[in-house]
Amino acid sequence: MIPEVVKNFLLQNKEKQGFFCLQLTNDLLIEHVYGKPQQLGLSPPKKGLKVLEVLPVFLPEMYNEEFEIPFYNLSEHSVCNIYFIKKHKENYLIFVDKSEIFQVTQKYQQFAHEDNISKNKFKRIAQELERAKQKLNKSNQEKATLIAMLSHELGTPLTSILGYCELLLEEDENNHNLQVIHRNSIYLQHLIENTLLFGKTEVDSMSTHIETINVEDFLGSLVDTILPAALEKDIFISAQSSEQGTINIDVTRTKQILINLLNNAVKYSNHGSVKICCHVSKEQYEFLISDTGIGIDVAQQNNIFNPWERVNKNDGKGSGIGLFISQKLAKAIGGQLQLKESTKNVGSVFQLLLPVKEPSVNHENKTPSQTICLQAKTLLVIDDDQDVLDLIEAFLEKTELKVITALSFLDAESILIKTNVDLILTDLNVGAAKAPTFLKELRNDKCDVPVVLMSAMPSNKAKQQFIENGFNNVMLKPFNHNQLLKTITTNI
Amino acid sequence: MSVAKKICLIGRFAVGKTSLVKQFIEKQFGEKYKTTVGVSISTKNLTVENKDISLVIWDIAGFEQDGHYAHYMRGVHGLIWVLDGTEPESFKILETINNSLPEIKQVPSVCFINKCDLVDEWVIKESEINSLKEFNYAVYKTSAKTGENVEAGFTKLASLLLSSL
Ligand SMILES: Nc1nc2c(ncn2[C@@H]2O[C@H](COP(=O)(O)OP(=O)(O)OP(=O)(O)O)[C@@H](O)[C@H]2O)c(=O)[nH]1
Ligand SMILES: [Mg+2]
Repeated sequence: MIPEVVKNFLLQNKEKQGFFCLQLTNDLLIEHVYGKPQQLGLSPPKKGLKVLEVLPVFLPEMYNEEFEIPFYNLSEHSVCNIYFIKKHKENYLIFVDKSEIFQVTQKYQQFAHEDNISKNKFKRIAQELERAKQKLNKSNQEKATLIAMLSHELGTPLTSILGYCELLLEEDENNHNLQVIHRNSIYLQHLIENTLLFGKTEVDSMSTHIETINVEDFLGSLVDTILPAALEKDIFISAQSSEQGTINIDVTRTKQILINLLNNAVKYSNHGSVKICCHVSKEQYEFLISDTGIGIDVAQQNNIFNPWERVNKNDGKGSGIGLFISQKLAKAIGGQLQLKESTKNVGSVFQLLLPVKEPSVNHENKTPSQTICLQAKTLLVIDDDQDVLDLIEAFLEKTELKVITALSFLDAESILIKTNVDLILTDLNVGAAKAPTFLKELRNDKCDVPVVLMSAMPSNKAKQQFIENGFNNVMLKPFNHNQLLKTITTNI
Repeated sequence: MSVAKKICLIGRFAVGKTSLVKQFIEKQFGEKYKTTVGVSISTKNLTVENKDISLVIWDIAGFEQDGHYAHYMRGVHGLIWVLDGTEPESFKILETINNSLPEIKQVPSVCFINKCDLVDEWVIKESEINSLKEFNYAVYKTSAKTGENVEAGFTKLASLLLSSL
């Protein structure tokens, strides 16, 4: 017979499941066992034994007061609530089976925790990704800024070097030493241009401008460009076309690619010949550049279009972005550039395939504008570099144009008050001041003289921005004699 | 007869409380996670500095909310705080529990920073571990997987309990 106290207690606590109960003396000896401990996987304890010898886990408990232990895991399969109650000088230790509800609770809790863990893990991965992305964006941004700044800085001295060199060559065109300086300056200019392109993200979305050009003239101009370098190494250069007549290509970009390839061909040959062929078909133009140079290792052939990958790492020539840029450019104009074949110490053949396209509609007035009369016109040039000012003056010496120079915007402003100016040519940064601010002030003062900006930042986006800001045009630095004249005549 | 002392493992879910007990008592480890509901109690006899002690180890389900420990911490003699070095959340809980049970500050305690075998996922910095010193716990970097510092940590608590006799 189960004692009334226990019955009442269970009733009060709404405990209906299977249970067993140990009645204990004040010395915690087992006086009586009610119910079936076997149901909970326990063998029935003998009367008279000390309960703590049977259940040592309750050894340190304090038995001076009642207590309750919910969800005590007896074993993997049986779980019970334990109650210790004291009534009328009797002590009862009651075990109520909770295995069933435990299973359900366990399942829910397991699910909730695992869900929490995987969500947390996912969150952390996402955070890490985000952090990495931001870091990457930041360093990309920094890189782009650095490249833009560097190019601007390099562009200014190069303008002077190239310009003065051209002036000297006009007087003494066969001076070999000058030719070498000139050629290397141009090479440096290409290098800077290529580096800039590398930093640009918009290469991929570059707009193309298809022009119609006589194929033999085009190939001839390529040969002319590369000839001095080839002659120096006794390399024979030849050009050949399968057809006569015209082709429709993006002349600037295609030239850039082919010059890059020809430069490489000469650079990596010590003798022999470099050949450029053009095969014209209905759908495409195929340009083949072959050399009898040192060739490319089979192992390296897959890497040559990666940035900063140089075919011969130790030769000290080239920056290793030429081919990367060329391939990017080829893609941008809808073409394809690849290494067709290469054999060590025999030579290499590169292939550029371009689709045949309709020429772009031309908005620009192509008639040579240099015939425009510059007489009685005044040009104001603003730059904080005296060398550049001198150079522009020297370039324009033989024209009828009147050239005034200013080393600061302040000087420029006082000149503008006194003098009638037809065109302003200004550097982007003059001292600490910026050209856009100057332009704004100018327009506020109702001065509508056209202003052309000189900048070494060639990105289309930046150029567009300058035009939107009100500049009439942007002239890229470095520039040569012809480019300067063209800019002046088209904007004056 | 040796003294019996009740010690409780407390901490966030999945930090490795059950695994630490299993490693300490059975020298075994399982990768599979089975969350503890309620409490699972086991005993282990130790001899520390020539004194015998019987540890009655209460492996309690991970902390859920205030009142979670009401039925389990009665008369506790020693505590093992278990944190997970790969889970920053498990550190926050230390503060929460201390606030909800101010009286446990008096209980001799050690702190395990568990899962130290997972070096790649380890996110807790030395400075954060040092900041635990304010709680005055002996801190152990443990691994229930490799057993690193598990015995040492439990033994440390046992010796704290013996010295407070
Ligand atoms: N690598 C590694 N895994 C561990 C370690 N300790 C525990 N785990 C794993 O972590 C998970 C959780 O371990 P448990 O011991 O069940 O965690 P708990 O603290 O008892 O969790 P609750 O009972 O839910 O509060 C399991 O998958 C274990 O295998 C450890 O030291 N190293
Ligand atoms: Mg557990």
